[in-house]
Amino acid sequence: MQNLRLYFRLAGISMQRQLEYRFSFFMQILAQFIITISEFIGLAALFQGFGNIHGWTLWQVAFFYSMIALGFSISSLFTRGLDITPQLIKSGELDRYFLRPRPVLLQLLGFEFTLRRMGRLIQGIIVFILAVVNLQMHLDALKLLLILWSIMGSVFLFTGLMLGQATLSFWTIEGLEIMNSFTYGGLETGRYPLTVYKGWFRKFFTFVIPLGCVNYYSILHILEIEDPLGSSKLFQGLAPLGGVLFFFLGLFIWRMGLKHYKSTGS
Amino acid sequence: MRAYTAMMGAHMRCQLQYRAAAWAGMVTQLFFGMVKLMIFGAFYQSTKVEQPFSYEQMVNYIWLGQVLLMILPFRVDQELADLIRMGNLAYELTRPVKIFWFWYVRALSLRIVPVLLRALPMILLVGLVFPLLKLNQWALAPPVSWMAAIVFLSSLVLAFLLSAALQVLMSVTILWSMSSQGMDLLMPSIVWIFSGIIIPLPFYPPWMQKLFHWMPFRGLIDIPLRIYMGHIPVNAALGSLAVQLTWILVLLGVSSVLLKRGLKRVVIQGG
Repeated sequence: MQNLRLYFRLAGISMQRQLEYRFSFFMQILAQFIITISEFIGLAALFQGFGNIHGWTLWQVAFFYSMIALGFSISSLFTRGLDITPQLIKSGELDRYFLRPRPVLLQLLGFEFTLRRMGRLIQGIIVFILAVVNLQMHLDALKLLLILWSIMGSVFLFTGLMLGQATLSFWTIEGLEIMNSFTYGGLETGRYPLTVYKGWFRKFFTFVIPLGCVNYYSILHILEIEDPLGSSKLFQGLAPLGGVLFFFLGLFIWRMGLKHYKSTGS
Repeated sequence: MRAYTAMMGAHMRCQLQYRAAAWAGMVTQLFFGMVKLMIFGAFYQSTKVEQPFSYEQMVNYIWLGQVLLMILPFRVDQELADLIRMGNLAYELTRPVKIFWFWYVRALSLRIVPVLLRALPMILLVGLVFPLLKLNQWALAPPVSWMAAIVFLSSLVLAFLLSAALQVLMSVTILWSMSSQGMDLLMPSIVWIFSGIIIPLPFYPPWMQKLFHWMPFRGLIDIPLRIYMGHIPVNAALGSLAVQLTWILVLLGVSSVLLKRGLKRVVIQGG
């Protein structure tokens, strides 16, 4: 409880610090917004040319696109500290975190609440609204709950991946780019329904990294579409749990990594 | 001249140390390439309408884009940025070389070595091993003709020179902003979209293509790749090379003027 209060205090200070440079701050949000919205314009352009992808329409894909963007961007708001763990290790700075009588992970999460990443979040919200309106969806309480549940699942999933990346940096700093396959690669993959991909790839992103669970399956339930892959409604509703479990796996690995950590000694 | 080539050699050897990073990067780039292949494969299966590229051309565009990914100046040169912020710029100013060209060869090596490190193994894999594994529909095909290959290589050289020019411009702007705001923040993300690495430029709506037409970024990826696969025919390619060359000269001119002005009012910080 005390830890939670400390986290909010750290996040608050971090936000204050970023708001000191107000112009720079708004520019950064605007920049990220423009970039991410151009990505979406690119997607829309592809649909103008191709019409559909395996029978999925632009706005159906836009719904997938926005849901994964929301999960990714929310997670990215508070995982900046995990992102820069390799640099902290390289400079020996991380050792200080061990000396303080608070969990290392808490300090890393409190390192920065990255407001400028709101640009992607805003984009996600806009695309989400556009998709909901164009699909003429009726959002009842159950659907809203399912939407929140799936977003929560993907926030957990991406945070778990970031934990994995930070843990990996205890062993190698150079090889870290591989994790981009799963973080940014996951973001890219989740933008399209799983049926677009080959079987082995679908299995990987369902059973190894449960991206499909927090995105594809639960969204089918929300959009009320029969699964071409044949999953049941019950499974679709429960699927985002996969993301939560993945996070706890990440946490477990992180704890193991912490024990293994040896300082660079500089 | 000798000083610059020596500097470039030293920087290149420095970059060669990051071999593990190159392997990790290659795996990631292969992964992204495959995701894109599957997505575009699905798109092509879903339509009968004629597209700007054939699927085979798209495969080449995707793989070459991944092979050449590191040509993009998507990061500020952090060492130079620190040097400017910490005041070590003073040392740079004492060297008996033109600081502008000094930074330019540095930027060149920063772009060339990571590409070379990754390009050969990746081309071998997707160009030779994939066909052996019967993954023909996913394999990189050779350039459409010998002429196209030669023009492609010239365009690629220009792409490196252009990328380094953009990189130097980013570094120079730090003299003004002193932090990661402004162009050094915007540019890296802009090159992602406007170079064509995310979606080939001919697939964007016409009004955006007009916009791309007047920007330097298509000279980084889009122009060389379309020459390779014959989408820009060899006789039209000279015009494209001229576009690249013009942008190199313009960007070099702008950044050298900015650097001169910036150095006049520079305040050395730190102690």
